[in-house]
Amino acid sequence: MRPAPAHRFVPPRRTGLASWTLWACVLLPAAPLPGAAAELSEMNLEQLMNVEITSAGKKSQKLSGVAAAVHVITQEDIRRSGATSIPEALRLAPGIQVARIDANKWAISARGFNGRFANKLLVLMDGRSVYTPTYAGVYWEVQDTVLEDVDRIEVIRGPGATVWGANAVNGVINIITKQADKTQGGEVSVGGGAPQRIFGSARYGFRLGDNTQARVYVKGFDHDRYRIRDRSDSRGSDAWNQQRGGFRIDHDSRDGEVATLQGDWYSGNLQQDLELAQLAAPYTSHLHDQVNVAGANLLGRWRKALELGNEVSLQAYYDHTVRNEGFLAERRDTFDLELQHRLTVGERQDLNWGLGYRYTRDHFGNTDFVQMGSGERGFHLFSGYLQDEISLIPDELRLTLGTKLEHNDFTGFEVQPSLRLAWTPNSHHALWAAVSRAVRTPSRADDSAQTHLLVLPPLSGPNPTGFPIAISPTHNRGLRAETLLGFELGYRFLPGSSLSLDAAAYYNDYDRLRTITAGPIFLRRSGNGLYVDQTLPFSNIESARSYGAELAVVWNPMPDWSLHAQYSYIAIDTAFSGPRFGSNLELDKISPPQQQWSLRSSWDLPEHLELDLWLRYVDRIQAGIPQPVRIDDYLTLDARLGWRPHPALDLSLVGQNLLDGAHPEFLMESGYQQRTLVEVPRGFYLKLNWRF
Amino acid sequence: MLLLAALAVWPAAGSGSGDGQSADQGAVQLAFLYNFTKFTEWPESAWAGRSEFELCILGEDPFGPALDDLHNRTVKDRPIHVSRPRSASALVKCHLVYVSPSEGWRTRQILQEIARAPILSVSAVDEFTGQGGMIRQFWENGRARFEINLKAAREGGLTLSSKLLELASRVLRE
Repeated sequence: MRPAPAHRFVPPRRTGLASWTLWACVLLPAAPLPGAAAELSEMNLEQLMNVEITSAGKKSQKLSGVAAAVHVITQEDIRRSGATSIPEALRLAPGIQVARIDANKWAISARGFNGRFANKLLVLMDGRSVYTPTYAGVYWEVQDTVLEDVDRIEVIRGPGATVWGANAVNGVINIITKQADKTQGGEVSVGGGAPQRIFGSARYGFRLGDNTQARVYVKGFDHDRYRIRDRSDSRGSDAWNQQRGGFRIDHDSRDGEVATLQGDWYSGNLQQDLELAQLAAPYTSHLHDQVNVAGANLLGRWRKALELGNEVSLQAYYDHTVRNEGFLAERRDTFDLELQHRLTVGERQDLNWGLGYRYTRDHFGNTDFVQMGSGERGFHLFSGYLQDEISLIPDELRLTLGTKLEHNDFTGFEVQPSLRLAWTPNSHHALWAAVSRAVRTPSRADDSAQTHLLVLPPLSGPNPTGFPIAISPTHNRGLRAETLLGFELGYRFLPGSSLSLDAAAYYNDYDRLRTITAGPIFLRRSGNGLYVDQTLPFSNIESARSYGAELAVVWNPMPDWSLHAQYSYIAIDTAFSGPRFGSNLELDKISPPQQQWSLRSSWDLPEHLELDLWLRYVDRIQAGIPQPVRIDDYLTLDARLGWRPHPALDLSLVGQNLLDGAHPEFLMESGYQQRTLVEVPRGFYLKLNWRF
Repeated sequence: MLLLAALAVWPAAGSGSGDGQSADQGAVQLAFLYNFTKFTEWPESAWAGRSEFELCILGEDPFGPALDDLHNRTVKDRPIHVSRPRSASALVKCHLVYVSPSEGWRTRQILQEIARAPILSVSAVDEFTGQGGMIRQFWENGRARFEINLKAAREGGLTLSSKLLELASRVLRE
């Protein structure tokens, strides 16, 4: 037991009702609220030296004056959530739709347009882009690290292209690991349960010199298959396993210079059940696929403070990925270089500018199912940005304006400006507004891919001809970038250190969205037979308007209890300026869950016990191509019981998806049919974490 | 919905376990800062043409809403003005500079800018006093402690009271 402090500072308790009343009075000027500060500054030094400090994990809320819809997932949030992967941890952020397609795949997006190939969300790990230019999206299953070493995940909803560049259309996710000096010593985690059979990680941090620290880690897991709806398919599986390792070295000269060198390596095997179209009878092929994935990366970053308010940073990385799937084999090498400079101009302006260059080279092994045209190509991306933050009224009204200018090999120059205004009249209220433009540049698949979505057998159903008809989405060299003009409004309210509210609303106007249009019909030869090829070239004929709002509330009714409530709403309407193919292409309109909400309670119990409950609701959606499948809304609950019998030892028992036996969350947009719909089952695991 | 009902009942259940009531670290740090000013004497030159006490914060602000409370307080009969200087010329106008841990990597540079100036420098950055900072805050068993570099304070022309030196965990005199 801790010794009782001589003076125990008790923050004033607010009843739930009073807090709700406070919310209702947001328009009233913020009266000086009774709070910690008033009483603390009355104290003299001797008294203060006896006040016990709240544990670091329970930091009180601070008002952020950032003019964007930013949510930070902390290490403590991740630990208490019971999440064992980065995608699962992203469910902690408001307005992010995380849908598990199967045991080893996720569809993750912000503000609509979700899919396995969700292409409007940019994701970076420690400054390294993990957004693949192959199909424009993220292979979430290979984005991982020791979760205990994650410092925070910054989730930005809305366009962030002015700083982050193309494809930061609907949001940016920054996964940031701790500096090596914060991970000194050893930490071992092992766990097991169902369907996660076994998982474990080990990290060791050590000093390399007076100002240099390092860490090394290994991690691995073996995950059982989920429940595949088609029971007759006993061999079908989505089980997977992965192994990875890595290191990070940080040097801090303590004289205005820091440098980081880090790298990771991984390899894994994942199984998947695919339903692919083929030109020969029976015109569909059910594939039990074994996918091999591997990758490695190395990143260096150097930051130097030139003088107060003037610093420069340089970052370079190399990334190598390999994927061998039944329908396509891919190898990719990327080199990226980035320079940033921040300086103050006078007393009112903060200027930020940067230059970037990226080269990515791919190598594809074509199959009967997907052809990528020329098997090997390289692409250059040049970028520059300039952003000025102007204090119109110091510490109160801030205007940020800037633009990114990029040149890519598909669409040439792209301009992505933004204008943001933040007003923080005091430390209780912040109001912000933004207008920004962002683009989604064509992917390698948009440019070169050729595939058959579906083959209609001859003389059957909708096909009266004697030939099979192939429905073939077709690449388009002339595809233009998708554009977004986004309007955002946000409000943050912090009545006291125990309650905070963060609200954002948006109206997004998308143009030139990629969809497929009815193209020319050909009679082609395949093997010994002929088939009718209905081509569906990618085209920019879709436009969309979406609006919505997100709300996040954190309330600590007591020092040992915190509640997180989140809600999001979205509505999308789409329009087409040319002949689209089929009625099912309104997918963008019907696929997002209109409403999502969650409620999470973290409670510290006596005897070093922790109890966490996490209730989540996701509205019904429709997903899948060519025929969208309705996926019901679901309510689910995760629960975690943690126990710290010794300061260096943690045990936790976690139950996931407790409210039903299994439920589907998503159906992948291609390669999957209703038969391969996978349900996410109830799960549990027991985990041990030991630090030394 | 049964679950929600259970949640609603919790506060009552939980309040019995009142172990470890405590205050937010940022608020405590700020209260210390305010107290330090009571035990510090600035030379006359520091007040020339100045009607306010200039409290400067460098880097990410750990204080939060606690800062509001300073609005109706004074230091040496002068109202407190909180600012976040962004240039060396603004920095030298401060009476007190708080260096946030986010600026730890450039501490030496900041201290060079204000060396030998009558500016009380306070930080929780490791080795802050060793690098020429005046007061370093740290935590010991969940309680706030501080150490003083008296030489740096003297070189800046500041006088720290003996009471403050007594309460310090450590005083660097050379």
